[in-house]
Amino acid sequence: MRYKIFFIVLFSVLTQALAQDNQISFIAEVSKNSLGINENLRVDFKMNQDGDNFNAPNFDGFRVVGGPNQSVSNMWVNGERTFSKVYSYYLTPIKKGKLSIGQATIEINNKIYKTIPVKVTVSGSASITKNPDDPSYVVNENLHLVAEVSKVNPYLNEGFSVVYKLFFSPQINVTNVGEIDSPKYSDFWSHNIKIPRLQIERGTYKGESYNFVIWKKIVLYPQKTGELNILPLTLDVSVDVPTNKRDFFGNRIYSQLPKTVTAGKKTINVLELPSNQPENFSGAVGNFDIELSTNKSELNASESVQAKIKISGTGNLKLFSIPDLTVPSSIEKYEPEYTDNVKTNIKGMYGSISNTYTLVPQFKGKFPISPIEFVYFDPLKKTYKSIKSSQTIIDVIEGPNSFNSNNNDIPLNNNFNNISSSRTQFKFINTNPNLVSIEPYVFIYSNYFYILLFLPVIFFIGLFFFNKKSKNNKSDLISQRANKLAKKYLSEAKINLKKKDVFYVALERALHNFLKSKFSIESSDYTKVKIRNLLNEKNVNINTVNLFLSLIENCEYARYTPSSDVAISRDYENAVTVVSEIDKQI
Amino acid sequence: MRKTLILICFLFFGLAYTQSSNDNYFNDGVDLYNQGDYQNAIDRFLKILENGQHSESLYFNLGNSYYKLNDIANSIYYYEKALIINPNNENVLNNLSFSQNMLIDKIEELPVNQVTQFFNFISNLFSINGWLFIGILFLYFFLIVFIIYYKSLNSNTKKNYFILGSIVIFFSVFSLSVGINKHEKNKNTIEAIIFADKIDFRSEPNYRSEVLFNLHAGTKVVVVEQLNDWVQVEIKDGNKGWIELQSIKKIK
Repeated sequence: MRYKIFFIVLFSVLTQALAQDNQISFIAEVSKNSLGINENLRVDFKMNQDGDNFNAPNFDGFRVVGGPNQSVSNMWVNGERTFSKVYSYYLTPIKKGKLSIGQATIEINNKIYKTIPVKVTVSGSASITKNPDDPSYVVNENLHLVAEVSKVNPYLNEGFSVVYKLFFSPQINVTNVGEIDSPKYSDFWSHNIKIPRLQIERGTYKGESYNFVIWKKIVLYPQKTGELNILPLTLDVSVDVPTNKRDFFGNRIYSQLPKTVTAGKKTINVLELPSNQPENFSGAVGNFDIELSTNKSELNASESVQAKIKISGTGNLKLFSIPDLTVPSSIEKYEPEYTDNVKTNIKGMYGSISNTYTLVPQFKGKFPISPIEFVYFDPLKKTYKSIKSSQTIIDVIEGPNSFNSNNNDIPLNNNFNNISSSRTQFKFINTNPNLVSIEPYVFIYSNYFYILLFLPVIFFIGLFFFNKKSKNNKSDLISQRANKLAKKYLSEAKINLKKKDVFYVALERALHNFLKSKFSIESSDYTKVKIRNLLNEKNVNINTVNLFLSLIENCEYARYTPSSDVAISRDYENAVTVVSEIDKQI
Repeated sequence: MRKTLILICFLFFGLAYTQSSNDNYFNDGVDLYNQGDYQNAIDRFLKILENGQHSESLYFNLGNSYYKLNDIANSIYYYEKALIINPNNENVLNNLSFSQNMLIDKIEELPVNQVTQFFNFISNLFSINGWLFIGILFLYFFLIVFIIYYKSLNSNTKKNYFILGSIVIFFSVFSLSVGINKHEKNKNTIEAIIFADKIDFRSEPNYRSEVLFNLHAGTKVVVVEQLNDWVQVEIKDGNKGWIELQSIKKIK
């Protein structure tokens, strides 16, 4: 009996436990097994015991539009507890075909439970049931958001507009509109044209008359080529839809319904600009005009002048830079001041942009500001156009001239009616032609050049040879001269070499004559001392002087003493040497 | 004989005729310039060049006329041509500075040291032919001095003539070497003026290569070398680059 009771209790506990085990379920449920691609699907993951660590599967092929939503219900019926916990997801299929929703996992009582994968068939878009009484159907039929793109394939940097219009049929009333999702124009320069007040206008949509409001106007300038997407604009609209019910006064009762409308995604195919791009094309697309102006054309050096480059027209005015001003280097140019006067309407930007430069010329003269070339692309004519501004010349009347600027520090601003120094003026042309043949006379390395250059050289060589030949006769040359002198002065003495008395008289006279002719002294007033002084004065060699004096002495002796023939001939030779020596030395 | 005589007469008169017609063109040009008709003045002046004659004044007048027409490149080109004939013409240098003011590029000149500056100054005193004539003149002078020196027996005279001779031969050699040096330098430096409005200087003589910098019309460059339709030129600050041949006009 005790055993029996024991078994019963054991059995009941076991079955209880088993029953409890059997009760745990974790399943995946889908709202429908086949659906259209434009329909939504709900997936519920249900469990009857509370669990942790829920892991949803990867919904491959689907996009999660809602969820996970969690709901827990706890019911007690007749003392029995029913628990359920549900994770639900709203899915939209992305592609057609057989898709499967994978396994979700959950941990209940430290055990992991998995759902069975669910197969779902996605077919083409299913037509929405046309039930004219269904308010959501009515709204779908009577409320449209349309994006009107003015140009689907614009050029790069060519402006176009997108206008969002909300069409609604007169049947329904739109009470409140809010923007959920504003499109981002990431590859565009965008400008939102503000709409001060929404105005209901009448128009047609697909042949039916509708009311519409222009919700948004945007001007876009594509900054990239290729296919660019404009993300859709999504609006949350509260709509009053008439129902078949009528109120006490017989008026239709409107039921208010929230509705999300989306203007479909738009793809813009941005064309690349033609490849024959000119070199100095700055990216301007539109239709422009360029103007270069200065506020004065004549000024003094170191005064300033304003030069303004203005580009006006329609196009992407704010999206390119104005070409730089090129001025002669002797003009100081300062950073330009940028001003713009650009307005944007639905057709794009229009107005003008300008750069104003301050220029300060340093020197006197004419300074041309070279014409500025501006290249833009005309999307209407599909060609590049190059326009040039006119050339402007700044005339600097007063100021230093760069040629003499280094040595010209005369103050220029004196009050006189000053005749400026001719050095600082631009010189008039030369009136004297002095024309010569254009063929230059190349003297260098010409025959004449060589002849003229080497003639003296040849002469020197000739002289050298002649010299060499007569070098041996050099002493003869000297004796020749001595002979000449001897002949002049000593000829009488030579004749009388044999006659002692006559010879010495002649020699003495000859020596005196020589001195007379050389120093112009009177014959009466010369003594030995005087002669010595005289010759010393003339820097005659002392030996020569001594020899000369000894000769004179000999002459005086010879008059009184007999002397040999040898002495006579030697004295004669000495006389010849002495005369030529003195002649040479003075 | 008679024929030759006629021919010589004919040639002589023909020469005289061109001479006088060129003078007429020149005077016409001056008048037109004075009336402000610069383009026609230029036409007259250019005709003289076509007839094969030129002068410092002619180039100066052409430079002035182009300056008046704001044609910087041509104006500088002709001023530079005038300076080749006479590098020290004050009027040309003065008006050239007016033209250079109109240049867009400012190129820092490499500093020239004092010695080079001095030599340039000396070398520019006379033309090449001038220097050579002076040198040869001194050479003949030396010859005379040498003969006197050689013939004289008096030692004082000899000494004086020796010193004089040394000075004269020094001047002769100096003038000749300056002349020859100037000629060689002129032969090797071909200067040119950029005529293209804006020209890219490239690292290689082709359009694929990198653009180093760019310059505008009127800048003077020195031609370093030439390859087909390209020339490598050096500008005053020492930078070099290749440009198209047709974008420059050589001064000589």
